[in-house]
Amino acid sequence: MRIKWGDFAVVALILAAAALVFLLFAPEKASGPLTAVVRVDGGERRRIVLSDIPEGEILRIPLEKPAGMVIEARRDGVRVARSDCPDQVCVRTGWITRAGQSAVCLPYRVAVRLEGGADDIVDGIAG
Amino acid sequence: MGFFMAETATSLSRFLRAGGQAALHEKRRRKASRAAACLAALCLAVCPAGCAVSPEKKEMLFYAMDTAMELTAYGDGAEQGINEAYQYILKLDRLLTNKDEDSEISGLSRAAGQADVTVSPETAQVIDAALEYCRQSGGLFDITIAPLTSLWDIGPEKTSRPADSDIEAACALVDYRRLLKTGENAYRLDEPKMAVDLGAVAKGFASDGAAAILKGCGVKSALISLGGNIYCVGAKPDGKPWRIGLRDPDGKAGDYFAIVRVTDKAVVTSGDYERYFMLGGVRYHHIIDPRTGLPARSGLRSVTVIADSGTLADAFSTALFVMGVEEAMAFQKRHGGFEAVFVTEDKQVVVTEGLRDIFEFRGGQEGYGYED
Repeated sequence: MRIKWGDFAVVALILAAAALVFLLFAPEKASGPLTAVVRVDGGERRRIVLSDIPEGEILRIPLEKPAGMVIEARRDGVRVARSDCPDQVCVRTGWITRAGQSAVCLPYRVAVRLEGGADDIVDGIAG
Repeated sequence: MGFFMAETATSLSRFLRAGGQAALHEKRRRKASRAAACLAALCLAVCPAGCAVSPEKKEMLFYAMDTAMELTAYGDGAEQGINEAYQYILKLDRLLTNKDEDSEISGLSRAAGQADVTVSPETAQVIDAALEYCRQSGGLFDITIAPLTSLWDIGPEKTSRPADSDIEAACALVDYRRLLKTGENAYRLDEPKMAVDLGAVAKGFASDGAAAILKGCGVKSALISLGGNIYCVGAKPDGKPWRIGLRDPDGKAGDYFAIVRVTDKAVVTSGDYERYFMLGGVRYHHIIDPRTGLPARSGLRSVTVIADSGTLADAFSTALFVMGVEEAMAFQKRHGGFEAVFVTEDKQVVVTEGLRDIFEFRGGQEGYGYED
């Protein structure tokens, strides 16, 4: 029995279908470029890919509110540089440089977290 | 995989066509068999790709009980489960908080030495569970510790410590045995100025309730973090256990000295770094020893308890911190039903026997010691 061109057509169609389904529904990998994510009251407000920042530069990230808070990002990390909150826990955290680290201001409900990166090997942190 | 499917498709196609050739209406049969082959092969092609489809992730970050909370759930029912769990936690916060004088717990404390107070069933559940852990821990976890916690009012802005006489007076008001159950959902504090503080158990209790709600909505996989009180529902969507880091007492938020691999477990840590202030080189932290009225000096930096119940894990992480590592290890052996990790002031990490298989030490670089 000879292979007809119809066979090739069928095979090509099936391979294409499989590839399409796979691409559409394949799980997203957890890692990606190291990204600073700023959330206020639980909602995402800013997302900065750190490698987009030129070497040696410090990027100021303004927020609509709280007005007194200054967040800074550079190639290797992010920090809360200034805050009007009474306890200053967020400011005292300093620069965070690894995926999973975060600086949180509870009084102002601001959470700055580094996500992505190659080292995402825990799902959560107790304590 | 593509080639395998192509071969299968081609074979199927040929097989059906070969069978069809023997039929009377050959042309129609040939078309039909080709169509059937395509359909069958398409289904085959999609199936392996379909295995790559993972359940959809839903998450919510919000603030309650004075802290940041995060709910992450997967699959059908995740969105509904998260919304219901969120409402439940807010409701519990309103009932149990000490920060609002309209809460049921504030009402109970205000009536100390005067009257019985009836509370809602949820509040009663927390109080009953907490009292049981007070008993089991010999009072080292004590929910009537409010006079001491409000006297110390531990926070980063503090600059002075209370007078010894005030500490002594507050200590005398701390005794869980004098929080009496007087009827169904009814309680009474036996002496004026006694008060209830559920801060050491509320988040653990809330995590149990949130987990039950998520499961009730059909969620098989979820990660609950209530201010660092972790509850893992089921395993991860890929079937592997959740990997939970244990916070490094000296690190930033996000740094850990170990990882535990858990399924359907609560993981709760009490540490001297969570709420404290420094005075004269001494760390005054928020875990008060009810016997002395002072922050517990037991040689520990943190205790993590892993258990099926978040309420138990929360209550016992406090009690074990006050006990110190030797007494706590003995308590764990006698009591059973949970595992624990201790970090001492000498940076030694001690782990209960049942944890060894799921415990991954990562603290070598930060100077922690661990005997395998």
